[in-house]
Formats: sequence, structure tokens, C-alpha cells
Amino acid sequence: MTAILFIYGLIAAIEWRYTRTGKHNKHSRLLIFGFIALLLLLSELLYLIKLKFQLAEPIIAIFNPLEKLLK
Amino acid sequence: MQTVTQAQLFKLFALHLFSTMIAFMLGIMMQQSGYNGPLGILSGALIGLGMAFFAYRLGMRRPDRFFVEYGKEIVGRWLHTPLVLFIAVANLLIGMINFWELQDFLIQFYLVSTPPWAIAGLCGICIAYTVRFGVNSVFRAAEGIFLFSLLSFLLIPILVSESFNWYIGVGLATHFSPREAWPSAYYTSSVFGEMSFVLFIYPYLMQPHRTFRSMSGSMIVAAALVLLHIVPLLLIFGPELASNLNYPELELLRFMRSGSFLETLDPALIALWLISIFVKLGFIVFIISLILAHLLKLKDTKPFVSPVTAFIAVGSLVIVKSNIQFQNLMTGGLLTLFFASELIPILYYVVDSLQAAWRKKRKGRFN
Repeated sequence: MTAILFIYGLIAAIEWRYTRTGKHNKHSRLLIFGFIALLLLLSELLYLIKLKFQLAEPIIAIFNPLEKLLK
Repeated sequence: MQTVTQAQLFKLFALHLFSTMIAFMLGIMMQQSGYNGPLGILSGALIGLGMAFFAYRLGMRRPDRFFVEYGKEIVGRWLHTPLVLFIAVANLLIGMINFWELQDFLIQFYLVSTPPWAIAGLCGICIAYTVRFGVNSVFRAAEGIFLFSLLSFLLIPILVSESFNWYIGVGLATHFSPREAWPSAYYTSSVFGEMSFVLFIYPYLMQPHRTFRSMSGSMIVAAALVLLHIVPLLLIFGPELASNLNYPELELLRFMRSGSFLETLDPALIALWLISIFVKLGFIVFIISLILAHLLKLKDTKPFVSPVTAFIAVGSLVIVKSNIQFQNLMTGGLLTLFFASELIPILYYVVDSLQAAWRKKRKGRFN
């Protein structure tokens, strides 16, 4: 979990340097860093509950009946 | 903006289609269809190209505009945003699944007892670095590796040809059942249908009217290569054994005549094949970044590349718990999700055509 935080921190630092030098205004910077924060939260959450919940479960629950119909 | 040539598009899609199909999906094909696998692959490739055709027709109506931007004029903003987000999620899942397969495969054979996060991290850095430099970087990577990759994939069936059990060929020649071939056709079409994502990169394409020709070329090359691998697999292992192997293609590589100097060639072939998968994943990451940037009304895709790649890498570690759950996922709904996302351009095409016809009719009435 700390490693994930570290990786996203590193990415945020790189993007901060990039957006400061480029053509980005305050609004676009807010959107970019908001997006990075959202992905960080999602990644941490998925990693935290990885033994209880896997992304595969909802996909199988929703699309398996449909696939059985089509096959 | 028009910087991607049709030759580059052809090479990228060919790599995109055959790299993961050959490496990861042949086992499932044989499990589902047995001797009818080749028939299923051929028909699935045609269905996939048919799906991509609608994306091509839709893209040709506005070749200089991005689909994420003009899509809302066709179906309305409230429907367009969730549909495009669904395509982005489907692409994220394609990325995660391919990443998971990559890790599983490398851990089983080449990087035994290496932690998956290390493999995910290293591969992620390679992909993010390629895509960060933009769409040209991905397509140039595809152009650079295509010939080597193609030659290596052509070499494998020749190298294992001494081990063919020709009597199995009788089974191949006599088993024709469209019913048995259908599951394979369904899976293949969901992979070949990924060509419909070309819709997102139309403004980058030079000579956009030739896009369908390039896609057809990619389909023919990819389908021929996949057939060149599934037939030797059937001739060597037979459908029963091959369907019980996780990565039959790798077993095929290991089947090369022992004692020959070519025996040590497999790491080189795997390295080439890995780069092909990096190119595929790079294209997927680019599409996701492009969708997100345009949905947030930003022109620059660069800042989205690294977080998206990191999310795919983390997601690949947690998407499934075990190999059994992965098999359940592959045969129990994931490919239907991909299929659904690839059908979305057809919906836009139909609505756009109906709107155009309606406008024409109304105009005629006023004149």
C-alpha cells in the first residue's frame, strides 16, 4: 500500500513539473491532479480489499448470463 | 495532426491482434471448439472485421474530428458520456487482463519466484515511457518491431514441424461443426473487434479513406498467423492435451527439437513477443488517456498516461485471485463485455444514419 502511494506520489511530482512548464492553466491542473487522486484512492481501495473482492466478480455476475444466452 | 501512416496502422493492428491471441487464447479456443478451432478463428476474424467496418464508416463521416467530441452530437451528452466511459473501462480491463497474463506467464516459466508487482512495475514503466511521447511513438514502435515479430512467429511452426503427428490431421479435415466452432468464433470476434477502436484516432490518420484496407490486411495477416499456430498445436498435442495447458504456445516453443542450437532461441522469441504485447498495451493506454482527456475537455493526453498505466498495473494484481478465477472470467463474461464495448460504434452509426435520413427527408419536404 505504501508502494502504491509512493508510485502515485512520484507520478504526481512528474506531472506537476510537466504541467508547470506547459500550456496548462489552473483549471486543467486541478482536473489532472483530481484524476490522479481518484485513481490513487481506487487503487488503494482495490488493493486493501483484494482478498474479499476481485474485479472479476461483478463482471462474471453481470455478463455471464448474457454470454450463456449468446453461446 | 495527421502523422500516422496507413502502413503503421496496418502493422500496429496486426501486432495487436496476433500477439495476445497466439500467446494467451489458443488454449481456450481448443477447450471450447477442439478440432473446429481453426474454423471458429476464421469466422470470428470476419465478424470482428465486420464490426470494425461500421467504426470505419462512422469515422469517415468526420475524419478530422475526435469521436469523443462529436459523439454527443449524435446520441446526446447524457448517453454519450457513459457509453464512452464504458469503452474506457473495457479498455482498462483489456489492459489489466493482458498484464495479468503476462505476469503469470513470466512467473511460471522465466522469472520463477519473482514477485508479480516487480514485473507489473517494470513492464508498466516501459509502456508508460512509450505512450507518454504520444501516438507517433506507439505506432513507430509497432513499425519497428513488426517485421522481427512476424518472422519470429513464422519461424515457430517451421521449427516444430518435425514433431507433427500427421494422423491427427484426419481429425482436422473431417470435423466441421459450426455449432462447435461458434464459441471460438465469438471469442475471436471480440478480439478482432478491437479494431473498431480506430474510431478514436481518426484525426491522426493520413489517408483515412484507406483505413479499412489496412484493417483488412491486418485481419488477414493476424488470422493466417493464428491459424499457423493453432494447427501445429493440434497436430502435436491434439485437442485434449492442448486444451488443458495454460499456455500451449509456450509448450510448443519448448517442443523444438532438443539438442539443436535453436533450442536456446526461445528467450529471444519471447523477448520479441513481449515487445509486441507492450505495443498492444501502449495502444490501449493511449486510447484510455485520449478518452479521459477529451471527456475532461483537455487537449493534452500526456498527463493521463502514467496514472492510467499505474492503475492498470495495480489492477492487474487484484483483478483475479487465482488461475481458476481467471479461467472462469475468460469463459464467463469478460469477452462479452469487450464485445459489447466494440458494438457501441455500430449504435452511433445507426443513429447517425437515421438522423441524416430524417434531415434529408425534412429538407426535401421544405423544398
